Amino acid sequence: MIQTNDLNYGYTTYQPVLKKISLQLPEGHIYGLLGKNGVGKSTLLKILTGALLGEGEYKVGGYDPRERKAEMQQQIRLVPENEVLFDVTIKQLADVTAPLYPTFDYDLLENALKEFEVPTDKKITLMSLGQQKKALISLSLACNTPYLFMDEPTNGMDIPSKSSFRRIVASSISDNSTVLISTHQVDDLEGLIDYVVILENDGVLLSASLQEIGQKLCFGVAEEGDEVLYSEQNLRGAWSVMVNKTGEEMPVDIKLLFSAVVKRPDAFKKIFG
Amino acid sequence: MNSNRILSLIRYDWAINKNKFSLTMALIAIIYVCCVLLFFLSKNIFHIESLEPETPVIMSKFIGSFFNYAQLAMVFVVTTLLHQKFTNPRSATNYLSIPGTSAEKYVVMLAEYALGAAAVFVIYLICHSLTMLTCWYMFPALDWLTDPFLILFPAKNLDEFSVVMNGVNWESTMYQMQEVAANEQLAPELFTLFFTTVSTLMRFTPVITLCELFAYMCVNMLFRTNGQLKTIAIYFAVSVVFAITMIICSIVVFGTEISQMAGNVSQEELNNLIMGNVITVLNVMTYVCYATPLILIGLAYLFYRQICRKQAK
Repeated sequence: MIQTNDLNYGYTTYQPVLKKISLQLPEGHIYGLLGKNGVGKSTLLKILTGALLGEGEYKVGGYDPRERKAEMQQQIRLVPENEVLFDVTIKQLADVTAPLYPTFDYDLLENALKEFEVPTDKKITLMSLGQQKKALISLSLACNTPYLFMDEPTNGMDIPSKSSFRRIVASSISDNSTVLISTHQVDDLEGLIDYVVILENDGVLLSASLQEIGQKLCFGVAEEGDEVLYSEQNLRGAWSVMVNKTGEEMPVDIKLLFSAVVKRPDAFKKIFG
Repeated sequence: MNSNRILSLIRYDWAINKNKFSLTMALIAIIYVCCVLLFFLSKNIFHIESLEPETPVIMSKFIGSFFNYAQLAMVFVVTTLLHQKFTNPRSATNYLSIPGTSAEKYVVMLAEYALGAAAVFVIYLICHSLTMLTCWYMFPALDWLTDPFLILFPAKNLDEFSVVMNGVNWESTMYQMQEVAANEQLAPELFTLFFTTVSTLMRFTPVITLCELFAYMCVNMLFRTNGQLKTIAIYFAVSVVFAITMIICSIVVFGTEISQMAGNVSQEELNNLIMGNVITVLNVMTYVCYATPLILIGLAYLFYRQICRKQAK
């Protein structure tokens, strides 16, 4: 489980990035971490891996990341938005990374590289941005850690690769794995995530499963009598987020949900607590 | 501490940085070669034209003297590579999140310093041996393979050489003053105290610098936030200013005393003493070496207390 209680962080004393972030994320889910630019999504991921030292109480899998224990770090793998460019091939990098992770799976690496069509004999620095991303995501998946954090993983990927990404992530992780994906490209996560966390600078605006969201809200063109929480004009008309009075689970429009929660946070706090 | 993990981390670092490391080694080898060429071209200083019997010894000591500076340069290069590891956000995120306790990563850094120093030593052995063999082939009349012990321990008898290499401006002046003072029986203790104190301190400069820079990297890794790094940079700057002030004061005080007592020391020689040259810069570093670790320990303790207080809130 990932637990944070009033987590704070600032790169400088006078400019805090994260304030009073309290989350409880059970294991076995794929979480979509959403938020506007600069709210601290990447910072939160780095804090949870121990790369940055936050203030307040927070634990990952029962460990305090600030202690930087090797046992904890072997259970967490971070795929940052901007990776170090390694002047070696992905196989050479895998050979020196594998001894650090006891659960490393070479077969998983081979399958992911094949699915992504990544050249294995080319140095990573000589690959395109999309190929670099795919190579390093394959390596991180192959580490087979219980906790996998990814920051904007689909940046630079072409459309077929995004589809491959969803397929590979869904098939690679186990039932007990916890995946936290920070992204602006919510369309890329459709069908992959089952939990949504929306951050703001001064707290968490929403933390709920898609099932719970679908049972409490519905998305579509509003009709008379519907309780509309938020509405946007698009080609389909007034596309709205409404209260789900039936309680039956409805499909969730994550993009619209994000806009609605960011613009009217109080309305959604009343529904989700 | 897990020794397998330490070795894995060293292999990891080597795989990623081997090109940078190899380039640095190649640069040091090229500089060695340039140094040797400089030796041959500096005929006036080293009397190459006459090929005196002392030439092989002088050349060995010249190259050996450079070896000391090359080792120090290597310490700074390794520090720069390690510093980049923690100040470049991408590499810091990567290195801090891969498995390994802080203690294990400190050991890895220490091993990388040792590897750097060993690599410089190997380059020195190869370059020095090749140079001596080439000179032996070209000028067989001279005894080029003199004192094999000197090849392995180039710092041996370096003091004798420093008069030739550096003492034109500084140490020979001190020798002259010492001689004058001894003859005049004017406070010879004063000369001895200053001269031997500085010389003794200088001997330990590479070791102390290594310890200090290693401690600096450990603090970098432990307190990896921008605020802490700026503070570390500020107190480093304060330490350097403190050291420069100390060395200038001591030279001025002793210099004034010497000139007053000796009477026949020219203003030019005194200016050479005070004005910066390479030896003066090394003296500054020597004082910085001794002053900074104490300040580092004190400030590291203050930072630790600050973080504990913040966590308690």
